[in-house]
Amino acid sequence: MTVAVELAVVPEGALERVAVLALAGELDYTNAEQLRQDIVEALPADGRDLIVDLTHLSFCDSTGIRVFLGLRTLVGERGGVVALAGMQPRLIRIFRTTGLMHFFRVVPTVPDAVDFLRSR
Amino acid sequence: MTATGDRRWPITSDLAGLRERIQLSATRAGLSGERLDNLLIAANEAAINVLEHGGGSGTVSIWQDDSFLTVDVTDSVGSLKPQDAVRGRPERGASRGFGLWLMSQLCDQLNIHQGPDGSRVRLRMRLHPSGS
Repeated sequence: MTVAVELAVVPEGALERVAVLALAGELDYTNAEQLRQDIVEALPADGRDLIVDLTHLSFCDSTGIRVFLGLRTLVGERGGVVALAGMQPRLIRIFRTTGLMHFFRVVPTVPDAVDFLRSR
Repeated sequence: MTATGDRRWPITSDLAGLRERIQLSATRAGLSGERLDNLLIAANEAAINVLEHGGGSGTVSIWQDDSFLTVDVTDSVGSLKPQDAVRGRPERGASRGFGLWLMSQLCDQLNIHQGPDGSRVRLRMRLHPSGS
């Protein structure tokens, strides 16, 4: 079994109703559903926007991308947006190849994501 | 044809371990950077297909000849047909076909062989892409 993707909730004091989640590990078919459940549980009830820090996520396959698409729908229903920060080149490539890059706000770092959400 | 360095593994839920072994073999064969990543992502998608739709059991083997590094992914169900390798981008929301389309985008060659014991997806990367 591939090791589960680690999920950490990062305190974010600068903006209200913004959750920051940091992922670490390799996201694939064998742990995608677990991560989806973990994220849904970790989302604060009063949250709106979501920043996902992917700095330490070294792999993501098509089932992993489906998790992000599901999150986008979930967050979108609350009127929020999903910003993906710190994507490694390999992740950027798979998102580009699948044509799904434009479904997300992709920014270099978490502070960039905060700036983007603040200016919204 | 002189195929060397043949390695074969069963497909299990340890996809990370499988990727690691493919990465090692492909690096030894001289693949690196973006092209190595592309092969890894494609092979992972092929293995997912086996776990999800291919009866859950199959093998991955990797070998090279003068021109190509080849990854063969077999399943025991055999529902994949040669023409599945040439279809276009699936509609949004389609649950099947996405992985195969992705493989076709990432590899230099993708073909599928259908036999009595199952199907075989063949992913190939040119070892000398500049044509030297």
